[in-house]
Amino acid sequence: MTHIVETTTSGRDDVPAPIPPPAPRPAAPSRPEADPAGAAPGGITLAGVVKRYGTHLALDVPRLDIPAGSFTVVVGPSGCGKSTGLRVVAGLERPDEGQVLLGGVDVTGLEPGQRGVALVFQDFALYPHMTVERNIDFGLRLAARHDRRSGPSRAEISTRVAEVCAMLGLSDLRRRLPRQLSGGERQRVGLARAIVRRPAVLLLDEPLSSLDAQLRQRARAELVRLHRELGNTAVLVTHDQLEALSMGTNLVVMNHGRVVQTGPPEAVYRYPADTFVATFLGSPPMNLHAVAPTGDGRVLAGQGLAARLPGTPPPEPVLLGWRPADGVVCAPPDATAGDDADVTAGGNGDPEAPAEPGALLRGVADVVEFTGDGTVVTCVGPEGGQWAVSIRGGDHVPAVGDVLWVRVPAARVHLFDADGGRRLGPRTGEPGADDADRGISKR
Amino acid sequence: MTQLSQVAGGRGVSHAPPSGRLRDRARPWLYLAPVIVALLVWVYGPLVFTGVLSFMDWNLTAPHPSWVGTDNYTLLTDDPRFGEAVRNTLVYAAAMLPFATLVPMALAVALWKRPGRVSNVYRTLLFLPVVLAPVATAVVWQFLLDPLSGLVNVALGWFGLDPRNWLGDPSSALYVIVLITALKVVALNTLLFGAALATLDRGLLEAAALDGATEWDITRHLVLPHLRRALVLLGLLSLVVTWPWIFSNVAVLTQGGPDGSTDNVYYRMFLYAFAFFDAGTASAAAVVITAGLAVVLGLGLLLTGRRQRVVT
Repeated sequence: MTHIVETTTSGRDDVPAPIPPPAPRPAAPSRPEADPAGAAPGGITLAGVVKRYGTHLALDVPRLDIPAGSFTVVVGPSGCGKSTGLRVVAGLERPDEGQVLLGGVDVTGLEPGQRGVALVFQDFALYPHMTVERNIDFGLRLAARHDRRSGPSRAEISTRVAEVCAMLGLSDLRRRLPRQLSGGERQRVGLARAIVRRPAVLLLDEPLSSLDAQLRQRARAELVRLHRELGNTAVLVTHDQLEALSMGTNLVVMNHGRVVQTGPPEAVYRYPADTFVATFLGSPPMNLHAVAPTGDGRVLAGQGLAARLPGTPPPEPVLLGWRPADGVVCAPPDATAGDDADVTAGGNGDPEAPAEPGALLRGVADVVEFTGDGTVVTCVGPEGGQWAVSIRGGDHVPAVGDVLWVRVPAARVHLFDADGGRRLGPRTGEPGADDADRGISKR
Repeated sequence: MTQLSQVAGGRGVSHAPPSGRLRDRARPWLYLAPVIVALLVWVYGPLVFTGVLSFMDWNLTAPHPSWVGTDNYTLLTDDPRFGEAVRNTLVYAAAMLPFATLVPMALAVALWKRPGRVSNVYRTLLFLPVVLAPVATAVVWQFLLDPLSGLVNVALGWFGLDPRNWLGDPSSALYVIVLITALKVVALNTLLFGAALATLDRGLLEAAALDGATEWDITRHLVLPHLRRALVLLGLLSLVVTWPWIFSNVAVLTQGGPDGSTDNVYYRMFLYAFAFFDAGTASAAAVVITAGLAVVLGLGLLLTGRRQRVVT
């Protein structure tokens, strides 16, 4: 899969500038054919797209390529512009600036119906007075009526509708009205209506959010299977980080109208570009600690935390992050160990720098939550800072009030800029930093 | 009064078996009583009284009406002016129907498709005539339509058209009455169609746009089907509710003339009762009108009800 390299994290520091720093930008938007990802049929490219509602900047995407044939999940908190982006691609909103390219063709000025895209709405938006069958073939019948020569014939319409109904298990419901269907059935009708026109691009606007939890799990799997069968480009918008990580082959994380990071879900999860991505994806979210270099500068220390990392640590204070599942509860280290021991860090019982690379934390168990597969323990640091650690099922579960020591391998430690929260350098957590420790796959 | 206080007191001890049962059964009727009494006194009583009166001869002043059997009905059927009034009434209804249905529906759809401040202002202006007093507007129209100095003829003169006596010409008077009444009907029904449209999910329009529907496709396949029930209802309702407005315009502007051309069954009934003081014949006319309306409305509801069932 073509990896999207060009993200817009840079936009954060130079908000007033309409165009982000020019350095690594690919070909000018006027010559989109040069871009391989956007030129394939079904590929989507947003070039310099800006959408404002009044003074509120809803969407600002200097460049985003969605590879053809991918299952791309766009994720972000509510109001981050993800739905606006989807509507811009669908043609339901006109961008104030910039271009939308589908398969390398500029469709910015085209009507929604002429773009070869289909959209599954959050509330399904089924035509209430039409039967399931009429809902599904509405677009095809219109196409036949508008263009009698090259439009689909009546026989073709009925075979295609039958095909789609069989694919989605709607064959027995064809004569029903939407109000006679359950939520899951309605969702399938909405899907059927979208895919019966064989769109090159299938857009899904939080299609699972109005289903109940059990149904959602099944519908997730169904959508993934459907995409495999259709082979077109699917873009799903969601605010659910679990959907984001589990469903797509390509992930786009958005915040405040901007694209923060793109890439395969696993890469985004393991190497978050900034603290927003780090804390938004994953449950419980990544722990973040303010740390500063101490001693000879090779040790980072914060409240109830000390870390020794390979390579040279940054000279100024940074944010240190680790995922709750990456922490391992360990025995308290006895007395001062290691040659680089710095006693100033251990003033009020703070851990001292561990001998081997990694981070060492000390906290008091405050909340213990049983999650089925394991336990999440929320701990309080010596001066009130909170962090969580996941304990796998079967391991010893601490009681509330117990003192906990947690060790995090160096390869699982993330460092972020203390000001902007951006990921720091090709360091910890990067590919190749500690290959032996990369056993985990997707969570 | 004692009964009321008993019931109010009985609420707390409704478990007390023997007399409580009766009280429980009486309570709903007690709550319904004010409305039932009002309906009996003001609606059903007069209805029965009118029915009875239609078989009597009474000049509204004589102490004792006398029983005349079906004489009043024969008088109606023999009166050529009543026959003409019936024919005119049908013309009124037919001419008014598009102003009660198609015109306001088109306006409401147009206003709904382009929501915004302009459309709100326009809607308000459109609705203004409805809240004006009927007789006052009729008098204003009398000035406007004055054959010599009325603004209508003056304005037509600017376009080189000859002045006409709009209300004095038997060929135009009825349609002028229909048009000026239609202003109110259109305004009211635009509002009602607008209310019906407010329940149409705008998300459907986006879905249709993605299905490749044109503006007309959306109107034809989504908006109009959504308005079908409102269309039938307002069409039938216009047969009933527009008559007070027509009546006030006729009474002020033409008094049924010229030559009976704007006469209708409602105005004729009024004449029987309060010009000729013939309560019996007026009552017979009322019974005929009510029966006619009942048949038309019944047929209308039956037809639309059946179509509804076929669709579902």
